[in-house]
Amino acid sequence: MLAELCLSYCGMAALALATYRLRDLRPVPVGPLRAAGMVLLAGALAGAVLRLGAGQGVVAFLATAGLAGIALVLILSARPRVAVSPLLFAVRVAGATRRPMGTALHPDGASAGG
Amino acid sequence: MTGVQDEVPQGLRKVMAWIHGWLGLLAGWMLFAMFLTGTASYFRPEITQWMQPEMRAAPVPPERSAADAVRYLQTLAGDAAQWAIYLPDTRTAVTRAYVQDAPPPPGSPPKKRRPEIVIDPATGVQTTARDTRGGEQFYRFHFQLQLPHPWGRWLAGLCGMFMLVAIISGVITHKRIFADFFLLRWGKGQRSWLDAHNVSAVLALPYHAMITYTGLITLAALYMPWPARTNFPTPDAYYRAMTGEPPETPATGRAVPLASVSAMVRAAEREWPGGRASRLIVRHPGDAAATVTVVRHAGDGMNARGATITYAGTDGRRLAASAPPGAGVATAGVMLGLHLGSFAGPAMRWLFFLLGLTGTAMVGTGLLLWTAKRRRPGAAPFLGLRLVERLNIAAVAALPAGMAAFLLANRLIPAGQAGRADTEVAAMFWIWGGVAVAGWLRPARRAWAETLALSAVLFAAIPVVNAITTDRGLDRTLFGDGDALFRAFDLAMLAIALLLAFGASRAGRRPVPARAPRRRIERKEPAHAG
Repeated sequence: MLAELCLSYCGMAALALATYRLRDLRPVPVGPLRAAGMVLLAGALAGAVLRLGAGQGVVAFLATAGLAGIALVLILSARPRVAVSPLLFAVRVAGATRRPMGTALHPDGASAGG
Repeated sequence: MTGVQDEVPQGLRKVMAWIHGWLGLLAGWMLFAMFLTGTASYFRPEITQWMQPEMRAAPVPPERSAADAVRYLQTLAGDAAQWAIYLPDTRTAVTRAYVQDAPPPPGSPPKKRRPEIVIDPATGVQTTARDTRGGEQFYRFHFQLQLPHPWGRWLAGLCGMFMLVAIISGVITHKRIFADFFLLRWGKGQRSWLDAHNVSAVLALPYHAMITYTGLITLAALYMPWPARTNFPTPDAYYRAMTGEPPETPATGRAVPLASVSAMVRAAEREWPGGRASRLIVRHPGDAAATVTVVRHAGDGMNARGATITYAGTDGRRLAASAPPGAGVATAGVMLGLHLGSFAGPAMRWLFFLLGLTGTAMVGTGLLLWTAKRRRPGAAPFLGLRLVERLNIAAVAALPAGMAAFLLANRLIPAGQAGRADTEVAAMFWIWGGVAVAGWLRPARRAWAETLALSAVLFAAIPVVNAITTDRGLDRTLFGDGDALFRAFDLAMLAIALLLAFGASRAGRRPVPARAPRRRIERKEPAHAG
């Protein structure tokens, strides 16, 4: 349940970053961002279906995705950078694993921290 | 989406907006109360447990609580026509039984219906715990609206139908579903209420549509009785076709003692791998024609209408079992399960609870939007606007006070007082009504802030009063690990109090004139990242 909530939240955060005037926070361009959002949400759905079966899994996914979205919107309305920070963190971690240790992280992801 | 937008004529969208606004307003106050009390009902057994602090859940195997209940009912109502026995489970601490007496001989006055019998599984006799409606009160109010049968259910159905229409018309009239998917801007008056209404509606749209539709379908046989009436000779025949229970056989009048129900419960649970028995229906107990129907637990699957197996009461012979449900019955059962959330584990139930609150917020923000749209700065509000504003305060801000009063009354009315369960219910409605009327005496903005603040204080008082009047207060439960239910309940009350206090503090602010946007989400910047 927690994993699906995290996946849904990051997926929703990616979609929000792709939609809004939050360009200075965007770690990657809109296209990949939107695709990443969809993939993350699909991952949450797959996780729920694998864990609970098709019937309850779809119900659980819709519930977690909806609530993750509500939570995102509430935080986004008050502290936009905090709201998307889990996603930015995930992007940095993903970037770090693909590069040799010590090299600079994704420049946009790093600039978003400031 | 833009393509679709272009195809929908402007006229249709205007018509839908008109329908959405007026139907939403007419049903909105009832819908708010239905949503809020319905959301609380996700924790119906837990609320009941909290409202009987004398009872401590002691896990007893179902076959033992069944045998204890039967033994007790034999001494109390051995000649009844039927016993219905609800066994305790992980969420319910007590065994509940309903006795249906045999119809009196013609000419004599009809017997009074017997009240619910609550049996303590630990002792096997009627509990001495305080009399209360418990979580059942919110649950029943949520679709019966405290009105005589069937008017409450009809009114709830009408409101539910309005809700369904409001959902569909709202989706059609909403111009920017995807563009405004995550958009919430604070402190901008009408614009903020519209944002909040859109966001709470759109993000949880599958939930809102599901809960509204399944709620209506659950009572469909009441709202549309004609198909059943046409196809079945009696309501009883319809019920038996639905549940698969065998037709009733009349009592013989020959006394034969009831065989062991424990063995029947065990046999039934053997037939359902991993399944639990939740309910027994004993017909003609002590008669040669006695039958015992064991009903499977609603939480065992998505279908909340559990399978049944019927045994002969005299020797425990297996007489019949419900056939695997057909498509229609299965669909109805799954819809009921979705509405009640009966299949949900604790985590899932909390998610449903939060989604229910989101639905409540959607209705509440919709009601507030209606007034925010029509208020003109500097102009005196017209009569209708004043009326709607007052009714909004009565529904949105005062109902929580009534619900808190119901829980507080449970602790403050002496445990042994006669008729205390009814007094608790009276407290809920007198406080709700009283707080709403008191709000009429104050200017609207003050009334909002003060009523919300009063509700917050009442909710914050619940854990305090609980700690003073019982030995299961937060002071003992917070760091112990034994009483998780009481700890969670009291913490939830504090969280609700904080939410209401936040609402009160926002409502008390003077409206700020439109100011330069300062939040990042509103800032327009040239694209440079990516």
